[in-house]
Amino acid sequence: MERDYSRRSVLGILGSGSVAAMAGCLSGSSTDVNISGGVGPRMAVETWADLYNDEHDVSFDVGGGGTGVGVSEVLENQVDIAMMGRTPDEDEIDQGLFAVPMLIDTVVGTVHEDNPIIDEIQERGLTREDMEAIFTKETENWGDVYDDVDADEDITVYGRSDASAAYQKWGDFLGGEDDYHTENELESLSDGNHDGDSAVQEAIANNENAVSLNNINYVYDLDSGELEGAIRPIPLDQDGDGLSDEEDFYGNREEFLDAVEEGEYPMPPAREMFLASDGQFEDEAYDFVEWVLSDGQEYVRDSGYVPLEEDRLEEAQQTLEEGP
Amino acid sequence: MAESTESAESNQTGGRFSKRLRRERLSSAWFTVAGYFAIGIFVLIVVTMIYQSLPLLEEFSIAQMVSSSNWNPDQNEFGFLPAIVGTVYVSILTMVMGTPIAILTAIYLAEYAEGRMKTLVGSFIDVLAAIPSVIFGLVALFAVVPFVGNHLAPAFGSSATGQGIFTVSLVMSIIVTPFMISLSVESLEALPDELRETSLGVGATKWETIRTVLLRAAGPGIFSAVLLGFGRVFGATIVPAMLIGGQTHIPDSPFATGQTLPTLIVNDFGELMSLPLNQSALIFVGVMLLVVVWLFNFSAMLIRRRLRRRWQY
Repeated sequence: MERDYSRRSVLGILGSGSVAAMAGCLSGSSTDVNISGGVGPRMAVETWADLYNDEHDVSFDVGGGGTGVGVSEVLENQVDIAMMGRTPDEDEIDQGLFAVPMLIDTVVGTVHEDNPIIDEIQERGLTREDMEAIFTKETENWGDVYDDVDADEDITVYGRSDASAAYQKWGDFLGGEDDYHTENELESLSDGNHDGDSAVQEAIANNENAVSLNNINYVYDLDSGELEGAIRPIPLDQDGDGLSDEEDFYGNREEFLDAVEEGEYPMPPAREMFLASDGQFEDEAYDFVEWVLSDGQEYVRDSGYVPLEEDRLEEAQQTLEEGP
Repeated sequence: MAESTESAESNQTGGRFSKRLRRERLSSAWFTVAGYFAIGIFVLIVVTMIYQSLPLLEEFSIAQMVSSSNWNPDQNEFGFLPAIVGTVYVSILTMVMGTPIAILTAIYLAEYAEGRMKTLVGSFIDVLAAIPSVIFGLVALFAVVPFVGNHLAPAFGSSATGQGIFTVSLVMSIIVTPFMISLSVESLEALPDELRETSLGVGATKWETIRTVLLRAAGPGIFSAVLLGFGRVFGATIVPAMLIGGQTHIPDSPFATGQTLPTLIVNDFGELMSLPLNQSALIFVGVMLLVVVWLFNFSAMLIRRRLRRRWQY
C-alpha cells in the first residue's frame, strides 16, 4: 500500500501541534490566584484552595520553594500571595510586604519509640530546662536525664541543616523567656543536621538514642491522627513537678491540637504562619484571604494545624481590611 | 540583440551566484552569532552575580569574610572559611578515594577486558553515570550513614552519627568515577596499537607496557578526566546537602560534620532569599564557586599543555 503522506509532513504536523500546545500553556493558563512560599503551611493552603475552588470557581496554583522564595516572588509580582512559615522580617516590610496571620503550626520534641528511658519520658515529661540541657549537649547521656533512672546510652541530637522557621522557634523556646538560641548555635551544637522535616523523622526512626524536633504532622499519622511509626513526642512538663493530667495530651493529634488551641502548649514552639502580599491583597486574592480568615478557619484542624484564637482572628481581619 | 541575450544570461548566473554568496554569508553570520551568544550568556551571568553581591561587598571586605569562621546570617555575620575548608576537604578526600579506582577500572576495561565482559562492565558503568545523584544521596542516607556511624567511625575511635565529610566523599567518589572511567578509557583506546606492539616487541610484559608506555601516553587525557571529576565534586550540591550534616564549623576530623559552599546556598536559599543582605551573601558564594572553578579549569589547561609536551610519543 502506498502512503499518501510523507514522514516529513507527519513530523511537521507533530511539531506545529506541540508548539500550539506549548503556546496554550504559556498564554491560556486560567489560574486566577498564584501562591508560593513556605513548605510548612503548604498543606493547609492547598486544602483551603481546593475548598475555595469548589465554592467560588476560582482556580489556584500553589507552589513551594520556601518562605524566602515566596516573599521574593510576591515582591517581584510573580505570584499573588506568599505563604510564610515565619514572622515577616523588618527588611521585608520595608520592601512593601504586607502580611496577615492565618493559622498556628506546632513543633514538638521527638524521640525514638525504643528510647532507653521512653517510659519515664512519657510518664514524667521533660521540662524546658531538661530539653535545653539535652539540645545544648550539657546532658550527654540518657542516664543523666533523671537522677533516679538508670540508663547508659549517649544522646544523639539531630537538627535541621536548612534554614527553617520551626527550628528557629525551637531555639526561641529552648532559651526560655527573654533568651534564645539562634539556629546556627543549635546547628553547631547538634551531632548532625538534616535537610527537611522528613529527613529528621527518618533519622530518629533509625536511631534509638536520637532526639530532635518535628512538626506534628510528622509525629502523628496524617490520616488517622494516631501515633504510628517509630517516633514519639516528648511531653512537656511545664511546671517542673512531673506530668500532670492537664499536661498529658500527647496520645493523638486531636488532643494535642485542642491543647495548643487552649494555650496549654506554649508558643513558641507553636508559632503563627502568615499570608503575605506586595501591599494590599488584590481582587480574588483579597477575597480568598478574607475567606481564610473567616469560614476557612474551620478546616484548619483537618490538615493538622491550629486555627487562630478569636481575638487574634479579629485583629487579623481588621489588619486585612485596613491594609498596609 | 545577441549581446543583450548574453548579458541577460550573465546577469542570471551572476544573480544565482550572489544568492549563494548571500546565503553563505548569512549562515556564517549565524554561526558567529551563536558562538558569541555563549560568551554573552557567560558574561551576563558573571556580571549579574557580581552586581547582586555588591551590597555585601560594600559592608564587608572579601579578606574579612574569607578568613572569618562565624556564619550567622541572622546576625549579619558572614564568615565563609568553614564552607571553604569543607569544600576543599570533601573534594580532596573524594579524589583520593575515587582516582585509583577510576584509573584501575579504566585500565581493566581498555586493556584487559574482552568480549561480553567488556560490554557488560562498560554498560554498567554508563548506567551508573546516568543515575541522578539525588538517588545516590537517598540510598546513602539509608545505607552508608548508618554503616559509617555504627561501624566505620567507631573503628577509628570517633563517635560520629555517620553524617559528615567522610560519608559525602565516599558517596561522591562513587558518583564521579564513572565519568573519570569513561574519559580515561577513551584516551587509552585512542592510543595507536603500534605503541603496544613496539613495547611488547622489545620484551616488556603487559603490565610494564601499561605502566611505562600507555599510562604516560594517555596521561594528559587521564589527567583531564581527573580534573573534570574534581570540578564535579567541587560543585556537587544535593549529595553534600543530604549527607554532610550542615554544621558551619571547621571540621576537625574526616568523620566530622561540615558545610560546603554549594550546601550553604541550598540550605539558606529557600527561607532567607528575601532578605537583601542574605541574598547578596548567597550570591557571593556563587561568585566564589565560579571563580574557583574557572581558576581550576584554567590551570588544568596550562598543566595539560605542559604534560602533553613532556609526554610525547
